[in-house]
Amino acid sequence: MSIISIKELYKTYGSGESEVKALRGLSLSVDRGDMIAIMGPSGSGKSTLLNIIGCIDRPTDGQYLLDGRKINTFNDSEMAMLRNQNFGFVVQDFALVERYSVYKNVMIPLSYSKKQIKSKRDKIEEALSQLGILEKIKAMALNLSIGQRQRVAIARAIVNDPDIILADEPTGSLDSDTGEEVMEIFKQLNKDGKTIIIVTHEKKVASYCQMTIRIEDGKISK
Amino acid sequence: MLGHKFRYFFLFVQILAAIILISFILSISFNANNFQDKLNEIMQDQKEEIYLLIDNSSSEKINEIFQNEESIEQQKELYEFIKQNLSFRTYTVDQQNALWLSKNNLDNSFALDPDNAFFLIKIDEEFQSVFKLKCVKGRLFPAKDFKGTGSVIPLLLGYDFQNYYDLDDIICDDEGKHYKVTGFLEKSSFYLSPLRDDSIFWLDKAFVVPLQPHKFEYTNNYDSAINSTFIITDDPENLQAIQKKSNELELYTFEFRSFKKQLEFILDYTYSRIKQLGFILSIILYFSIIGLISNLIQFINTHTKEFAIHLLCGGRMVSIIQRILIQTFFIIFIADIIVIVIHRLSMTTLLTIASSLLIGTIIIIYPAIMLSRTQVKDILRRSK
Repeated sequence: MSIISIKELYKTYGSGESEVKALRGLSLSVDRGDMIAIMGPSGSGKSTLLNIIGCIDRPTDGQYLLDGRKINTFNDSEMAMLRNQNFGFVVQDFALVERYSVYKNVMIPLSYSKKQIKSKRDKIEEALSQLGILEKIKAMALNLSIGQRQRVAIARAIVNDPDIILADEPTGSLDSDTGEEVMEIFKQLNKDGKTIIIVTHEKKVASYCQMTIRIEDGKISK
Repeated sequence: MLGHKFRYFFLFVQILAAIILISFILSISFNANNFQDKLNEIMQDQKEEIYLLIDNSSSEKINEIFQNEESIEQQKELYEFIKQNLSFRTYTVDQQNALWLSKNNLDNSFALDPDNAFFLIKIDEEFQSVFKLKCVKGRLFPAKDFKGTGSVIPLLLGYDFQNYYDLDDIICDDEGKHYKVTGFLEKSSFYLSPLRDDSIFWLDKAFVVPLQPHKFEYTNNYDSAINSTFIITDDPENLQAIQKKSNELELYTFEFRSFKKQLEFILDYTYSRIKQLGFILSIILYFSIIGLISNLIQFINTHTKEFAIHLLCGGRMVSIIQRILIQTFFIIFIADIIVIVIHRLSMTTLLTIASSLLIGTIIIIYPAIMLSRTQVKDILRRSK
């Protein structure tokens, strides 16, 4: 059974002359454990698709099933709960709160989690160990290198043990060596059973994935 | 960051000043209304008007009176003339005294100052009927108490003393004078002495003793008693006899002002103070509210990325709005605590808290609406 099932998805921004059709009847199915790259030119609708999949945005029309649940009918509070429990987000600018420590950054999803967690500190240390940056637990995010910041962002994405990791240009701000390291981490997470969806411009990044979906003008072209 | 903290502190001081000003305006206004109510309460059974004796003598004249050893006889004559005049009634309440106890087990709320001076008034018999004093226990002063020659002075205590003393207890002051408790006044007993705007005197924590002119020894005893005497008459012309007598004795120059007239003075003074304070308040409020709204909007703008991260990780817009609320209402909360310390629990405090909540709501309404209308994807886009 697909973990993500999207049928005839439409997303329109604005109205009248300023109307922009970001998605035009897009359909997509993602199975549990897939690692998918979404590629396409700027403005093709790939980030909109990622936002809808990640319950950040709502479609104008069409159906989105997440693990069999109809997301269209969920309210804001339920959407927030889904973001917390089902998704881990990694974005291009690392999205760390610079005035927080590494510990506090990784803590954020756990602070909203309603799962029974015996020791939040253990979970954070486990995530940081997995990413090889446990020794930075007390460091301020501001003082980390670019590569370390992206590792912290990934640690935060996995700390709540989500099924799906959504990455929007995760290597866009990294040099090629660090980018490769990050992709190896994603590959390992996929091997561990996580479903991973990556939006990227880079073919090299897409080459790490089992499947590449190309979007043009709000539809899957290939 | 330091600049932000300094600005935040500066705005806090402004809001604090505004809220304290609101409490003072309310307090002044309540005092004036209370005074009016209490005056009406006293006057409803009085067909005659009550007049204050305001001493307008020059300071040189006062010095001359006090330096003249014979003036005690002249003052005695004037005092007796006023008290025994048949064309008007009088009452006297001498509040120019305080009491220090030899042994004190009263709590701090009874003391007038850190030296444990307690509120003491000396009254005559008429005072008791004008202000409708009644006892919850014991009795008021009968006529003989004002002529007593014994060494033990009868004592009426305010309502709040009941936890500390019983009837017939003997209390000793620091000069070795003995007082015997003869009664406890009803709760919220009061009298009016409208020389200033805060002129309702509550007697719940007061020591009340009979005025005994036959025991006066010093010049200032008569001076104090004369200047604490109020005239009750329906004909102001009768008052001229007092001035005439005073002139004959080369004593004071009086102004006779009715309670009603004095009330008008007090209300005029109150309104002008409220206007002044209200003007200052409106300026402070204008700048502090605009400043705090700008501060919150700046806070939202500089924390957009942080909010976006929290929203991505499962936070809700409500929890972000809560942060804004907490930041604003923390300032209001601290200011309200200070108001409670100043005014304790009273109608002034409650209305000040209500006003401060209104101010807080005005401050957060625009930033909160701004945030609540923003969607998660918009914050994410802005944070990029």
